[in-house]
Formats: sequence, structure tokens, C-alpha cells
Amino acid sequence: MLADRISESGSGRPLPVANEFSAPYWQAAKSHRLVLQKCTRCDTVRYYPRPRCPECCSADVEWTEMTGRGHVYSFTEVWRALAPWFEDKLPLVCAVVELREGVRMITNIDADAADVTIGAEVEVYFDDADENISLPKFHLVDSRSSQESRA
Amino acid sequence: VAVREQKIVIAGVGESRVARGGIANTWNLHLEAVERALEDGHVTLADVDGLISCPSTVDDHPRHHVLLAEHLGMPYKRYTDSSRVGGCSSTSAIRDAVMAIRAGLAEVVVISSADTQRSTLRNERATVQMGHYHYHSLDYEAPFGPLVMSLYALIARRWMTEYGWTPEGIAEVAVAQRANAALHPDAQMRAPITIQDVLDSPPISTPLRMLDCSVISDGGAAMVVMTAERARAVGANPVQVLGLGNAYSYYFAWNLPDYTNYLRMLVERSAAAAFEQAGISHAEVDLAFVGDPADFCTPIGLEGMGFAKPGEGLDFVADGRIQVGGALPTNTHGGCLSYAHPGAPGQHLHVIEAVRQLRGECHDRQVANARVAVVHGLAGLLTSHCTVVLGSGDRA
Repeated sequence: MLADRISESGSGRPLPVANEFSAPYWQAAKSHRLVLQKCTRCDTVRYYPRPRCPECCSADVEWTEMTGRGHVYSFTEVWRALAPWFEDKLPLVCAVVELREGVRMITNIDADAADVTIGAEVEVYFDDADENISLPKFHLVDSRSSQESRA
Repeated sequence: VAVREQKIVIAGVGESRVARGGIANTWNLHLEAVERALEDGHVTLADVDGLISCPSTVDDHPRHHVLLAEHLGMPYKRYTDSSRVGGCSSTSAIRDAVMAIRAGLAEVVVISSADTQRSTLRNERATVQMGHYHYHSLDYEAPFGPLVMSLYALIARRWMTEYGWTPEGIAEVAVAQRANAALHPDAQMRAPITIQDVLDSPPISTPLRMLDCSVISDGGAAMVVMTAERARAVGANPVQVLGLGNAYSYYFAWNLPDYTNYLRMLVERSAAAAFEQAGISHAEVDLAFVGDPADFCTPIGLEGMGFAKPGEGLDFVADGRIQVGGALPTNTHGGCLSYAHPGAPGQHLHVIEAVRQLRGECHDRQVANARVAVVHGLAGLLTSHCTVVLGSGDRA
């Protein structure tokens, strides 16, 4: 249950727990690299980490670094806190991001919802949640470059 | 006639009080609902030899059906199981009951659902706390803070963007369902609402606002399934199960190949199988039911079932067409949006209303000459689908 994760994390923040299939994923994330399983039989990239390829059922994988680029498949502005930890982060933008490699993931976009559109280009960054876990989140590519030009 | 060729019917239905909090656990709601369904079906527990439970989302158990049987005082039975397909567990359970009876494994099967989401998840924080009980992934979703309704909102956003569906358009569904609920004395929400009320309600997870979302309730629902022959013998007033179809897919909705075409295909396949088995055309359908965790799901269901062309489901539901008195009255009790959504029994209540409509028992909200109803159950963020076609007892 979510309540257990919240109490386990110490910070009150629900955080993932690595398992035998996801450990390399979270390890790479810790060093700010988005690395996913790629099937060595049919080249299908999969997310989330799991034991077999969803296309051909092969167990053979190569952990492969993604470009970290993709686009917004869908998004929502969340106005209620899933856990108390989120209360001062509202509203937050949750999205389904489709990576260039074709897989989709639930994540956050660090932007105002008004600036987000379906199809918007995004790039990964990592949110260091604690000493073990860094979460892959995304910037809008355009807004980030405009922030840089302002800086 | 061999049992495998006999018509199967829903001979009795019953619901517990649909409560708004203060319920300790689900067991008494199960018992109340089952008791009423048995009475309605003119049978007693001694006649029941099959039990299918739809476990509560808040107090589930690995052997839920065994525990329920013990609470019911029917420790001995020939067939027992739990149906675990989320919101469409009860519609899927009808299929299981039909198969069990046709296979000669049971003669009288009770299906029971109960849940206490209202009591267990404290009122106004309930939409949030839903996540505590059936969050899909604690590793790949929860860390990013989406509510269960956010995961629906992601699907809504795609349909609205691809087909030009507007907030006003989906709000019309909520308004129509409230108008239906206003005709039902037991509905949780009966005060009429306007499109503006929906647009002015607080945002939950955009594009969904509070009144776009289903209510949160406590409640239990049950039905009794048997052969038409048995129902005649006991003097029940049955409704026939004419056809069944299912389509199941992914666990995580974001693994669907896409949120529109693939999802519509699932509804189409589920419904096409049920319509074919029932041998009916769309023109013969007098009323419809669609699982409605949020308002935008109803046009998706109706469109997928073939009542509207792809992308045009929202046009179909406009102008009161799904209200009682409209062209295709849908969720005539008000659905999960306004009647009640206790959790597991949410769409079981759709089946109960369909049975009552086909028996002509619905007073102010009765659809005239209702002979065929289609109930489309959906679950797991629209990844699982189950369609049931029901016909009035005297329909050949």
C-alpha cells in the first residue's frame, strides 16, 4: 500500500523500491542516466523494467542508454495531494511522455500546465529524491532553452 | 432441454442501503444485498449452490468468496470463486455464472459485491486516498503524484484533443446523469446541475473537475442467476442474459498502444461479441449502461459499442439523448456519477437498474416498452471491458 511506502521513506515522500529487475534502472538513474532494457532478440525497448520482452518473451536484455528526448503524449494538472508530501507542490503536472525510443512513462513535467501541450518536445532531468533514488522527470525543451538564454 | 442449451436468467436483484459513511466493513452490506436478491428471486440460501464474490477494494481477502460464504451461513456450495476485474468484476461474474450453470457445476449462483469507499476513505480526501488502496504502481506512478483520477484525466485529454471534445461537451454527460438520478428516490446526488456548475466545480486533475467525476459511496449489490426453467418453477420475474463479450488488455493504461483507437477497439470487440451472441442489432437496444468513473467514459463506451461513429461519441450524448425520455436512455439511475459509486459494486448497480427497467419497475424513470438493455462494464482505466446484453423475460 501507498501508506507503507510513505512511512518507509522517512521523508513522507512515496518513493520506489528497487527489485532484482529494476536495480540497474535505478542505479543508472542515480548517476542521471536513463537506461532501459532492450531486448537483444527483437530490439524492443521496454519500460517498466521486467523479466521478459513484451514482444517476443525473450529474457535476454542489454541495458541501453536512452536519448532522454521525447514528447508529451498526454498530461494533466493535479490539484489534490496524493500524499501530504505533495501538498506544497500543487498544482503539479503529471504526464505520459513518449521517448524517442518508443516507450511511454508516467512522469512529471517541470512547467506550468498552461505551457504544456500534447506533442511538446521534452528532455529528461533527474530529481534526486534521496541518497538512493533519483526520479526521471522532464523539462520542456523550448522553455528550458529560453530560461538558459535569460540566465 | 439439456442445461447447456437452456436460457440463463437473472432471477433476482438486491442492494443494501447506499450509505454515506459510518460503515465499519463490507460484510453486512454483502449480507443485506444477498438477502434482498434471494427474496426478489424467490429462492432461499438453501437453494444456492454457487457463489461468486466481487471483493471489496478496501477489505479484500485472498479467499474472499470462502469467507463471504461463511458469513452468509452457506459453508457448503458446489461452485465458488471471486471475480477480480476491478470495476467490471460484477459484469464478468455474470459470464462466470452462466458458464458454471451451463456446465452443470451449479444451479443457482449468487453474485455479490460490496464496498465502503465512502467510510473507509474519509469524505473530502477520498479521491486522494483512493490511491492508497489500489494504486497501480508504487514504483512507476506514485512517486510522481498522480491521483487515480489523474490517470483517467490523461486518457480524457487525448480524446478531447484528438476529437475536439470540449469541457462543456463532457459536462453534458454529468448533467444528463444527474437529471436521471433526480428521478430515482435512492440516488446519492439528486439536485439538478448545469454545465456551468460542472465548469465551476473545483479542479481535481485537469481536464477533470469534481462534477466530471463519480461520487464516492458505501453499498452492496447482489443478483441471483439460474436457468429460465428454474426461474419459472419458483415464480420469479426474470431477465434473460442474451449475450456476453469481453476484451481484456494491459495492466498499465500507459502501455496501451494508444489511448483512442486501441481503446475503442477493445470496446468494439467486447460489444460485438455480446451483440452477436444475443443476435440483436443496435436498433433493438432500448437503453444502455456504461461504466462511468468519470463523465467522458460514457461517450467512449457508447461510441465503441457502435452507437456513434469513431470520435463522434460526444455528439451522440448531447441534447439530452442519454436522459430518460431521450433517444438512448443511458445509466437511467444516474450511474456512478450521480446514483452511487461504492467501489466494486458501482457497475453492479448498473446491472440492477437494467433488470428493473426490463421488468418495468422504474416508475418516474421507466423507459417505455424496455425489452433490450446493453450493459458495458469497464475497468482498470478502460483497459478491461465486459459487455452484457439483457432481454426482458417474455422476449423470445
